[in-house]
Amino acid sequence: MSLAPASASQEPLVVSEEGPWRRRWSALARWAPPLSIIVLALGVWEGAVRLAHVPRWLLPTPSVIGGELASSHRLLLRHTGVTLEEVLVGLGLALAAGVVLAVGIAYSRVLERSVYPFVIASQTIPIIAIAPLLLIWIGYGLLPKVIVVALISFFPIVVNTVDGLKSVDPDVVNLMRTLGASRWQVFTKVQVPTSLPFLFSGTRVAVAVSVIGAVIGEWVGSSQGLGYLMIRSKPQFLTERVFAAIFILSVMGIALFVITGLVERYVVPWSHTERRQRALGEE
Amino acid sequence: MDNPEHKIWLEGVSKVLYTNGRPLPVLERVDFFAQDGEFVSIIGPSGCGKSTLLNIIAGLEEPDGGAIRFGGHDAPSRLGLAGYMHQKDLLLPWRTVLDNAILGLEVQGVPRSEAHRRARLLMGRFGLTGFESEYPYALSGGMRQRAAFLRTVLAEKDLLLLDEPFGALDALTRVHMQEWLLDLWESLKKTIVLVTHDVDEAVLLSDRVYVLTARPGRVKLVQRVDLPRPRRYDMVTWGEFVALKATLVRSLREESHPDRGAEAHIPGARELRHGSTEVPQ
Repeated sequence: MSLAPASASQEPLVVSEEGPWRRRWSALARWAPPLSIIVLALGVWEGAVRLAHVPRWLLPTPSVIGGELASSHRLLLRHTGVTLEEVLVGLGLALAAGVVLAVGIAYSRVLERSVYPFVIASQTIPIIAIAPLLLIWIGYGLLPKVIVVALISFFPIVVNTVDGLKSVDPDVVNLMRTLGASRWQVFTKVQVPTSLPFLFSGTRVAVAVSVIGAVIGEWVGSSQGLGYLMIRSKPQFLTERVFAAIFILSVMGIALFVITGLVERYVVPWSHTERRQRALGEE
Repeated sequence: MDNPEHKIWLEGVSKVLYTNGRPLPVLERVDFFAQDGEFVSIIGPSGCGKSTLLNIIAGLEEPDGGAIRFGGHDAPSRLGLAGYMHQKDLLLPWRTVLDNAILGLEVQGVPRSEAHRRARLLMGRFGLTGFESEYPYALSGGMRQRAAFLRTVLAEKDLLLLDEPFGALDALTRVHMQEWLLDLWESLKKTIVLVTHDVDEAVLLSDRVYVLTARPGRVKLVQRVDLPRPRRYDMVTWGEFVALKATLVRSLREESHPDRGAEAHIPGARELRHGSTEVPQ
């Protein structure tokens, strides 16, 4: 009788790697539909506006907006920098406060019962209603925008992280206890890694809404940033500049989302592979 | 009557669980022991408190009454004294096979390099050579279970508690694993308490088998298994094996169908008649 029975030979193992060609083909198949929709939409837009002789201040064509992006790039870049700073600082604040609060809620019944309902209730208050108050209390400058960003992006981070911390399999916790692990060891070796994929899910949502928060903050009262630029361009009927700002804002949101996904892949690689494995079925 | 040879010793252990505020007695005055180096199995109808008994030995739960002694001493806090293995492999998906295996050593504060060294020494015996840096999702069910078992063994406890470790595996893999565990146990010299619902498994592996009654679980029968060691899987066709199995199955059937009793037509008895006509080699 062998000591390691039938291990490698009988049992099916890792799914084989895809070839480079197949991978390139699947990347094309993945990106082709959204790209062709964008090209088609821009073409229809350009053609319709030209044919109907829609005035530029009412609806500029994509080519005019593109021209604006190129000719005013220094101005746009300066205001983009301001908005990006508000977004990043606000997100950092939301992450720090969100994770701390989530840990508190997940571990303390008292905190869960007392604070959690208010965290959820806070989401029913429109941020746009709070922004003017922040203006009155704190004034212009970076801080009120950062707070708006943090307020709006904090919620998905807290909710997801709480779910993550609570999703830990109690049998795994028991296993750790039988190995003699302390509560701190259970936290760092099991709870933290288990909740990280959830934290990233929350962060992806937070990143997407954070840009909205920064623009709202700037609309209410500011002297710089892309939101401010939109407000200022409107009475001047510089509609192509408004569109340029919108374009940059959406690129910013998408870029932050993609970066979060890349960081996630690096920090929690198992989550990605597991999900893909599940998608492939039990093969 | 505890004596120093008893690795674990329980007397009059009772446990009541509460479901929706209603008391549910799961164990009633259970006496149990396992000697040093002994392989003991616990079988019983589902819900009889087998797993609760194992959890109490492991220290995950405390009994409501009774005494527990560990290696001849009172053991009010038993967590970390015995290795414990669940039916689910409970491998951490973010750790490689090697890093999963050393979890117990890591918790004890053994340096990683030293822990890795000890784990690598056992990889071959656990049929995991070449899979050290794989993540659990890439392994088959049998390999995952062996990796979980390696984690249990590496924690370096003399007493191993196994809660239906092969219950989730297919029949063929389960037989492989049982043979493998037999070999391993005979060289490890550890005390093993195995909870199972598989009578074949209990007879094949054990020195003694405890049969628990339906809830609340009491000890109904303690059956010594005197089959020679080393055991081999083909012993399942031996007359002695089949006779032992029939005794245990009858005892279990009385618990699952108390109205039918021992006279019922049971597969174990049929196998006994069939088996006894074949003289073992």
